[in-house]
Amino acid sequence: MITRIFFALIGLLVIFYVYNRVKKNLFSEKESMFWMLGAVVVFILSIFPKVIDQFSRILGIEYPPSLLFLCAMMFILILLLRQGQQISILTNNVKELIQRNALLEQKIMEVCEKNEQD
Amino acid sequence: MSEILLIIPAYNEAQNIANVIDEIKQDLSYVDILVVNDCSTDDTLQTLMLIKDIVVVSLPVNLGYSGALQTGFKYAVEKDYEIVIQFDGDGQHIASEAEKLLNILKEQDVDIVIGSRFKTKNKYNHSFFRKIGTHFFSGIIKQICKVNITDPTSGFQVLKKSVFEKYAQMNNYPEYPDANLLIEMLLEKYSIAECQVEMRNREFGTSMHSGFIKPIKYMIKMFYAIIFILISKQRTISNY
Repeated sequence: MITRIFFALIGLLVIFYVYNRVKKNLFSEKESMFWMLGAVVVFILSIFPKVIDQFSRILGIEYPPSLLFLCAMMFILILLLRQGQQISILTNNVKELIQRNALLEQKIMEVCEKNEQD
Repeated sequence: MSEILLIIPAYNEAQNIANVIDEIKQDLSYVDILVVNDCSTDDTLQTLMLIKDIVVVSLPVNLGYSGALQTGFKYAVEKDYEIVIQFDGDGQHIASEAEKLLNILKEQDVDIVIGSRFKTKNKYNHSFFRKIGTHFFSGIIKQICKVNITDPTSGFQVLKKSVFEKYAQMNNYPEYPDANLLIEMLLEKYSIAECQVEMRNREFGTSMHSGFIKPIKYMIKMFYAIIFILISKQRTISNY
């Protein structure tokens, strides 16, 4: 019983933490969805741990905790992949901005020089 | 303003760049010169500021060779140039040789002209690994596109407007714009010609392909990029 309460508390804590971050605009709503989902799953599983046993029976998994690990790993891998995608998009955007900025700087210099000559 | 722009991406080339620009001004007096300073950590920028009649674009962050080059293409598009010459800032390329490339571009009406070191046999000094790499990738291009390109890694190229406009817009302009980019352009029916040019061995500084690990990394990345292009292009070609 005490372990159940412990894990339920952890789930609740994560839910509130994510909620708070989003509310304070420190975490985008879109990105938070994944984490919220994960936290809710942790919360539900800590209250009804039998769910794992049932699912593993349906899937034919002999050792139920391995299903839990599989899910956790998938969750982390998907999250990592998403991060990688976000980083590539951001890198590209930053590159574009750097180039645009450099070209604009050059243009300003040109205009300034022209003004000085006039 | 001329209709030809010569782009030099420069990263830590303080020792070479002044000589390179002097040579271009002497031998190719009719082109405009643009130097893209890729956030050099030495006095490249200060050296450039002292030189007259050139345009300097200075990147606030180091973007690497291809990022700097693409900035140059964007400038060329903005200023409406007709032809772009890609030139290295390390003194390897010889300015008077660019005339040959320009002539071929005009006479044969091709889109890209590459200055090749290996079209005819000569004694250009190249490290063993790069020789293997160059042969390997020119073999791949020959297999796929049935075009003989002897020096796909050459940074000495002349490009027509349609080509550099495309390069400027590409949001995935590759880190190493070599064999992969040439294959992509060939598959999109751009025409490429080659011309034998002389090149010097570099005097100061190190090449971006120096060392032992870097060439291997380069080979793997390039191979992956080519496979990727082949798969994606196959799809678009079969869709028509």
